[in-house]
Amino acid sequence: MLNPAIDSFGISPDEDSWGPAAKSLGVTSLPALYVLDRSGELRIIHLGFDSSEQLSKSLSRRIDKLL
Amino acid sequence: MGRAVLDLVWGLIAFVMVLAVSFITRQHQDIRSFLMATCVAFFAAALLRANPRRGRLWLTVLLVALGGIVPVVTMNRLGIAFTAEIFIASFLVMSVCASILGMGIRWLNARAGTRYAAALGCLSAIAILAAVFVAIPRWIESGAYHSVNQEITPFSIETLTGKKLYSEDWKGRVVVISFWATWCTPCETELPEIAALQAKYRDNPNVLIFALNSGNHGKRPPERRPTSPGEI
Repeated sequence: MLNPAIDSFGISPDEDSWGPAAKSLGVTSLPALYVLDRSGELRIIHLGFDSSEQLSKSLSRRIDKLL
Repeated sequence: MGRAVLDLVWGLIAFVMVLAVSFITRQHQDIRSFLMATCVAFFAAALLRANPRRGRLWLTVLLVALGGIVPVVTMNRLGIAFTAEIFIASFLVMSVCASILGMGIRWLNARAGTRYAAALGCLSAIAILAAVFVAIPRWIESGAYHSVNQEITPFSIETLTGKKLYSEDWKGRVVVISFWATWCTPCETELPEIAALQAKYRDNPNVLIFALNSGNHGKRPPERRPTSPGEI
């Protein structure tokens, strides 16, 4: 069925083998992407996915800013 | 009354056609093609239904648009599909705008002549292309990103080979962690983007990119970039 764009699926980190990483970053839905800066702080959260967005481009712009 | 029901049915047919086009072209993960199909279908439906000689053009347009909006909102409420707010909002805007343009062109053709109708048609096409290919992707991008400044509890992830990596060891580097699962369709379409990102930063020791798969401790896709010496 049509499920475009930033549709995401609910998940429970406790029940998953990602365990500590998902819990620490607060993952509650998929897909979810997190970026930590050079000091180890969480700076960017990206939730959901739509191919119109060209994630690799939009994300690398943001990564370059953090470098 | 019969005409009003027919208007609704035309809207529904337009919507079914949009679904069919999206299904056949397998473009259901890309909102651009879906909205493009929406614009064409609702434009055509309104153009065909809005006969200036029969009056009440706005009611016709409203009913044609409702023919698509009602099933979309129903599916959204029942959680069947169209669960993303930004998606449903852009569908509402584009179906209504396309219906109004369809009616407007037919009305202009009857009142002011073909030349004006053609001019409006060209302008509408440009506006729709700009909205679908420029404005909406940017809107989606801004909705998907959240900027934060948050300290995190240190954690570890396990590689396929069973080695543990500790978040505290990543200081001085920018770290990207993507969570995915095999049962999550959008995640699968996202993976090539992550792979592209890994390829881009392959030679940059200051960027680490992980894709964690649910169900496997710290599993990473095979195209994971080589890590710097001594890291794993």
